[in-house]
Amino acid sequence: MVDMLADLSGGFAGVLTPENLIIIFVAGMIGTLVGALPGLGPSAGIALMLPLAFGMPTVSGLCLLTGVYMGTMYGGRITSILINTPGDAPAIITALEGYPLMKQGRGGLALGISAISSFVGGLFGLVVLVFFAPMIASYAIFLGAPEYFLLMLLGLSTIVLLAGADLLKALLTACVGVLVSTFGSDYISGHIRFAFVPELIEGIDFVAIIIGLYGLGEVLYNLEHRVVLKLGKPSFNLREYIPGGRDLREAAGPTVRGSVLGTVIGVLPGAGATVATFLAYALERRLSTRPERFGHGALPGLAGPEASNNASVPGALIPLITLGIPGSGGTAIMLGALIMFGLQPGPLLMIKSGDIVWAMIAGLILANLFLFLSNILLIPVFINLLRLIQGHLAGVVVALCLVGAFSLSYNTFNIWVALVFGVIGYLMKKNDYPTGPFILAVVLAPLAENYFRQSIMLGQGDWSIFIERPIALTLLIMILAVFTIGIIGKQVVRRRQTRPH
Amino acid sequence: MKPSETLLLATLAVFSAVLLRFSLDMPYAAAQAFGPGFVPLNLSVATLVLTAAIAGRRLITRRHDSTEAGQGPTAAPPEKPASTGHRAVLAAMVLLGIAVSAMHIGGGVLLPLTLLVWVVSWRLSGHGPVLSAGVAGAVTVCIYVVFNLWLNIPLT
Repeated sequence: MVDMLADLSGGFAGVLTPENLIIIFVAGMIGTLVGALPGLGPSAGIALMLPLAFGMPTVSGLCLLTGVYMGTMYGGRITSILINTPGDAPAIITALEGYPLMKQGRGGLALGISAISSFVGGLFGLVVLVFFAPMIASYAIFLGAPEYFLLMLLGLSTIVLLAGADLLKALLTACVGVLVSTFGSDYISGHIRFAFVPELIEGIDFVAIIIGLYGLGEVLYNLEHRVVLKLGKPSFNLREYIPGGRDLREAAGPTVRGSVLGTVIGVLPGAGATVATFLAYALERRLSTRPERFGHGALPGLAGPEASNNASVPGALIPLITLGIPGSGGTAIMLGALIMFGLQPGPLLMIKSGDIVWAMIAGLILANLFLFLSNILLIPVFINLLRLIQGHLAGVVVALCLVGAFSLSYNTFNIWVALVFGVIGYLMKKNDYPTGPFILAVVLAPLAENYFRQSIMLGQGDWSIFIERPIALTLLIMILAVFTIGIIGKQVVRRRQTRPH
Repeated sequence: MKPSETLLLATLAVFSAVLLRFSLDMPYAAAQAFGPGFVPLNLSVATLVLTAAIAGRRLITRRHDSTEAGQGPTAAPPEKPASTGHRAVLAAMVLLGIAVSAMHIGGGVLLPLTLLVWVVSWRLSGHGPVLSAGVAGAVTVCIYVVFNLWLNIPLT
């Protein structure tokens, strides 16, 4: 442990130059802006900065890229809370609880709590990265297709907890989500499924679905109900934006739990951050004494998933640094960047280029601190910007959604996709069909399907592969527990509601 | 059942029926593994069953309610005339469709987008034409600077 602290201090010595500090700060701000734009996430942010990083010294270039990566995670929550338009899948839960808070006039509080939780989550993940990275990575390689399938299924099982009052409606939207995810190339057999137009060969981009379902769907719903935001006039009274002691106490437990969950699940390649945020949300809802507040602006439902989202960034870097395995789109581009700088990702990276890796980790710690401070200070700017345009929100959100969908592949196909899902989102919201299970299925079902079919092949057609392996069996028991607790919990709540006073 | 829910369920049923039809042409299973048709076929059947279950439950609830109210079991609730809100939503959908078609045909995004924001702000959000033009212009300039100039996304 002392060795690691010595290595980390060496990393700080490499990073703490005026140029690097400016680079980290600017990278964080650029990442925040890119993350806030609908349609653009960590992958786009890092990819945009690659040409710039190429001309820099290795440490500065890596600081730039990791700063942008961390910044996009902070930025994703801004449009989710302010205009109900998440930029990527992990930000969906933020919109689910943050946007109702904004409509109640507590947008500043939502941004403040989410920034604090993001900071704590990111810091926790970084501490784990510093002290336990090699140990965690050595365990992660023992997971095979059956474990990954059951992990995805565990994520999907939270549908029961996200279902709201009507389980049938949640199951229906989840099934439709799985069907939507089957469009395009089947990775196991190479078969092209439902490619009615050539653009569908690559499947339907889930970001276009999110933009339509949440952004355009919300605009249509607000137009019908003549929803007018009453956020008041612009004001820079800081008291309005700083969370009080009671709010912080309420968010403390969920933040710690979300941080642990995000780091552990973020290590696993695949949809780490998404699974982590949904599981954190399900956990908080389960633990809450007032679960009926969830979906209407519950602080624990915002704090836990936000912490897990940012904790998953260092979590995802653990297998990248220690094993050379990228766990997400963002880390895959980071892998390319490491190779671009002449480094050799893999188990020998820490031995051969330890100084550079530790400098990168030191840069991440500084980026997390800068981002926390800048995001707290920027809250009044974001809120007042929204107050300034609150009367014109429909036009602004429509414009952002269309341009965001266009920027996914630079053609109008994804705008059509967003439009179709905008109408579906509006109809779902109007008739109380939950969107959470739908989007969770869209994101996780392709991974679950691939891992499931690989597992069956691995077991040579024998399904017992799911109970013979200890980790798989543990996950299976956890899934059954989530289902049982979820269904029994709903029955208890229903009985309480129908019982005469 | 509300007309909007009927529309939603009908859309989902048609969608899953179409996928069911096409998934029948895909291999369901091989010797020791499942084929590409396994998930779409099973899930489209499940979707159809769930759609039917929800629709059936709604019908039973309505029949039950109307029997309790002393009306005939087939009595339907009176149709409400289309409200201003419904018309606004329909108008927005049509406007969005026209704008995206114009982007598709014309090849550029910015001009149809500017016009769309102007019309939405003027006709649907209830602002004056001059103020709406100002808002549309400001939004377009911001989008042009961020997306086109900075991020090099070809919007024009």
